[in-house]
Amino acid sequence: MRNILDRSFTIMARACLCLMALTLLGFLLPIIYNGLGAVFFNATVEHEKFLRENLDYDIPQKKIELIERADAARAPLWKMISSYENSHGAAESGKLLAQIRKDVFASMRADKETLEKILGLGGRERAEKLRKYAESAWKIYDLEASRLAKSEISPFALDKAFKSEQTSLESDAKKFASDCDKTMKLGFSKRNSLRRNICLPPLGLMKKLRAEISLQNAAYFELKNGIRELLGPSDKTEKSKLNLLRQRYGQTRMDMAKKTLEESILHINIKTKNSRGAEISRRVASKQYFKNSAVEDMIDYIENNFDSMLKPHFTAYWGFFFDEPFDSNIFGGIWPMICGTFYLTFGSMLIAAPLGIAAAIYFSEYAKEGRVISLLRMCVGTLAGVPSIVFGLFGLAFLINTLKVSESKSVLAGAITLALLILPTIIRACEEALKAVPQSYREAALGLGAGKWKAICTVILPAALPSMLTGIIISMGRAAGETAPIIFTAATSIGSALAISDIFTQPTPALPWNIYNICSEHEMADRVGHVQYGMVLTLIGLVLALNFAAIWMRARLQNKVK
Amino acid sequence: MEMSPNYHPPKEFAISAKDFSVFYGSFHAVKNVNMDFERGKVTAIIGPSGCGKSTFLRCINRMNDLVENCRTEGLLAFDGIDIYHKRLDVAELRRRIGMVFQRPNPFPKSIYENVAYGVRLKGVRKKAILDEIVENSLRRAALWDEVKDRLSSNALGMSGGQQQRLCIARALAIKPCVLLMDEPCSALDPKSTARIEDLIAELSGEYTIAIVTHNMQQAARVSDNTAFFYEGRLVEFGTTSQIFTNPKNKATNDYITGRFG
Amino acid sequence: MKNLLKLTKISAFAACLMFVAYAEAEDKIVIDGSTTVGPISKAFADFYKENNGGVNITISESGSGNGVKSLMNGACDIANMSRFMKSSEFKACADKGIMPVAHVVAFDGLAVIVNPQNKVGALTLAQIADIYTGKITNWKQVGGDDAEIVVISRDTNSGTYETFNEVALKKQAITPKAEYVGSNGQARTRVNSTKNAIAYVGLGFVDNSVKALSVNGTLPSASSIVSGKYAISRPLFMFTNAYPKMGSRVYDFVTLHLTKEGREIVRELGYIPVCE
Repeated sequence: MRNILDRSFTIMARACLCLMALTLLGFLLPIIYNGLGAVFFNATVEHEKFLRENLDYDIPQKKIELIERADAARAPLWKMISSYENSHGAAESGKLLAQIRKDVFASMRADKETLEKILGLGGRERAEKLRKYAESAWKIYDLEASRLAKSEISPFALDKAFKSEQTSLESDAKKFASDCDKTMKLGFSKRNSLRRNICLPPLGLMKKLRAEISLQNAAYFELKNGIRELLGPSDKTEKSKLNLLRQRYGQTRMDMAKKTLEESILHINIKTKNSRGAEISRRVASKQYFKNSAVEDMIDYIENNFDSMLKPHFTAYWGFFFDEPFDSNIFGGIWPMICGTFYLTFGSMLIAAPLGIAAAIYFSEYAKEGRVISLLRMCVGTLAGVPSIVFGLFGLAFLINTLKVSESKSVLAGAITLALLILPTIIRACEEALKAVPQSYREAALGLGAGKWKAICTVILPAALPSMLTGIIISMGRAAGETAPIIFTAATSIGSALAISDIFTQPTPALPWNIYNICSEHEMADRVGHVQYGMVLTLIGLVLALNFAAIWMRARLQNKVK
Repeated sequence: MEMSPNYHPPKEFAISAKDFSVFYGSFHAVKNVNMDFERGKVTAIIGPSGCGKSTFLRCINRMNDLVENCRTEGLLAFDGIDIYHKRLDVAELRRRIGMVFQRPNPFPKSIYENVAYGVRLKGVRKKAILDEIVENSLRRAALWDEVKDRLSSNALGMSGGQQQRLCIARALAIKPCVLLMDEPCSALDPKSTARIEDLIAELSGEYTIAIVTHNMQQAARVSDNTAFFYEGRLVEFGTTSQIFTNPKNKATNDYITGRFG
Repeated sequence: MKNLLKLTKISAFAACLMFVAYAEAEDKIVIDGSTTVGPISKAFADFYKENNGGVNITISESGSGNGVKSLMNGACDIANMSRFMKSSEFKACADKGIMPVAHVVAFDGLAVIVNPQNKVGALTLAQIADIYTGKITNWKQVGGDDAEIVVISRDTNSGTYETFNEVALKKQAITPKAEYVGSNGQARTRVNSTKNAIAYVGLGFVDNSVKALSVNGTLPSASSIVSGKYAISRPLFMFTNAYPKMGSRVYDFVTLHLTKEGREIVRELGYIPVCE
């Protein structure tokens, strides 16, 4: 019977250990895999362009050739786009319309008598008669414009032509009215009425046609936005006009590029009207929508030449850890966050360690057990259980608003708050370490004539040091990962890496806070997914490194003692 | 630092106790002890377990201060000075009265540092002087030859006997007047015990030694005077030969002959 | 003696650090506040740092309400807000000797978003108000599938919430069944992952993972907001303590939106610049 119980306990214990290990692996492995994806990934030539132009990296010759070949592969696409947008048909039809317009105006100028008669009438009748006159005068123009709108010419080009016609019509109407005013002495109100009404029909038609075209054009613009998101701007002049980095470069990672292809080029949102006349947006397959037009050829080209336009190649971007972020973390690395976490961790250790060790020495060596000491111990214990958000609010209210240790958030305030957070743990760990020192050392030291303080400094503390250091380093690991205390006291979403002289006055980004910030508040959270994983991996790596350092240091010191 | 004007302990006694009692709370551990330790001689304190001999010994260099609710009454004097006087510098007292404990307790430092510890406390910094003192102390403790080429190795790596000799060397390095030894050989093997007993014999004359021991043969071998404690009281005190051959008290006789204890 | 020497050395070093710290205090701009205005601030900061090196601009996005509090306590130089200050906030600032000055840096529309798989594509403002106050609880009541509507709102600290409350809800109470999220990004994530959710976010946060509904027949876009056809729009503010001194860094920063580059940046981000 006992054998069975023993065996089952062993099996259960082993099963629990396995379960724990699997859970840990199941938790760590995806993080490691995805986090490494921030440093090791398939990059496109846009990544190299970004590094060369913004971070002054030296790009090796091979990669420069890649960039050139990719640009060469894109050249046909840019040609297609520009020929679509500047189709000759539009220029010709524009000229045609302009000619018709000039003829109409000429005939109206010739027809002075009719105009004078109409202008002689009173207000409303005059306006009506003017409009009727204009309608018949502009009939040919209207026909031609409608014919063009139904033709093969690209809506983009047509819109341009119609837009310029609109402007010309308005200016010609103004000129016509002022000429008539000079010759017929119309006066202000008649001149205005003439100007407004003489071109009303064609202007109305232009507006209507342009509105129809704009819906089609909107779809084309969506597609063009998708192309620019994928490949970046087409040439240097366009690039220099753009200010945001995310618009000056295409996708730097191949996985994001594939996603962009799927979501922004092969499918687009178009605006249509539903049955009740309200505008709604609908998602359509682009090739379906642009069937049988030059645009479909563009999409085909992009699909077929995807790899040759982007030239994916495996790269190790170590700059992820050491470069500053650009454009809200879309490009660049996470150096300020790492720096900030280091400052906060070491700052909190520098503040908490001396205080904690001193308190532990007091508790274990000097304090006489009694009501006061029990109360103090209870306070320390309670402090250990206070939620970290309370520390954060305390830091904000007391340190920043009341004591004004710094004008605004700062590393100093954050370090003090974190120090308060880890202080109880350090006190406990150090007290345990001191209690573990054998009483015989104390007796021996005192017996040799050492005063109490001397005995502590020369014998007890050095003997307890390995355990104390372990406790302190593990607390540092905790401080590195805490978010709530630094939200209000030290952390910002964006900032530069601080120099040591700035830590007393300036806030800083920090890993735990920025992980939350990017996940929840970033305007393009899906584009910076790799940064989120990278930061998580860095933070976990940092905490693990600290813990391993503690274990290693303890083993070394213990070996020395042995 | 001076006592009441009525009592001046004779100066030829290094340590004198007059009506000295020790209380642990309400427990009367040591009851009205009157005895003197002759200068330059070895005095052994024997008795069964729990009879208060270690307690009494530890009061001499005020190690019992480390125990809570330990209280003393009566007089304990060193070189004519009241050990329990309010303004006494305890650290200085302990420099003059060294102690070797029951279990060897070297510091977790190197051998050199162990021996030099007390010397450094006195303010000596110069390496040459420290080297000399360390060598002399280790020689006196009969340890020099065994450790002279590994002075910087960790003291905890030595055998029990070596560690105890190291503790003796450490205690001797500061040149105390009195050496208290609380059952120094109880944790050691016979060979180490023999070496330490030889050591005690060598040191007597130069140092006043008080040794508490369970081992009557040891007391008989090394000491000049012997005190027998029983249930907190000093039952009999006299020269070693007298106590062991001709005890005046029946209890002493019973203990020596092994009837109890 | 040796210890005393060590102590003097350390305190001298600390004193030097302090001095340097205070000497450097000029070259920073601390910005706090709305998550909607955050992208504009970040883009402006990048642009400003490119052209004026050596200044550390830090931006926190903790909500319009927290922005005001930081400005009040003197903890920030610029407070981003997606709503105007309430009279209680003005009073609190004035009590502390802060005179808030508003700079309108962009216009923004509030897009009402649903999951891309949701059949519904258009709602009226009245229907949206009814959904948020709890009078309409099922998508089938507005032409969608038979499913309960998951109502998502921003927390009350948010300027976006205040605008929505004023313009769309006309200050009625939101249904107690509504879920609250802390930022535009979280609202968007929630809608993306929940088939029957509805939420409102700033226009700059609408992307392919969610679908924007048209309100009263108009889809939100730069042109429909400028023309006034889109019903829910609002100005975005940066508040400073009194008008910043001409030529100071804060002045340069809050007048960026008036420059050509500033306007283009605002447009590129998806917001509407104040002037063309």
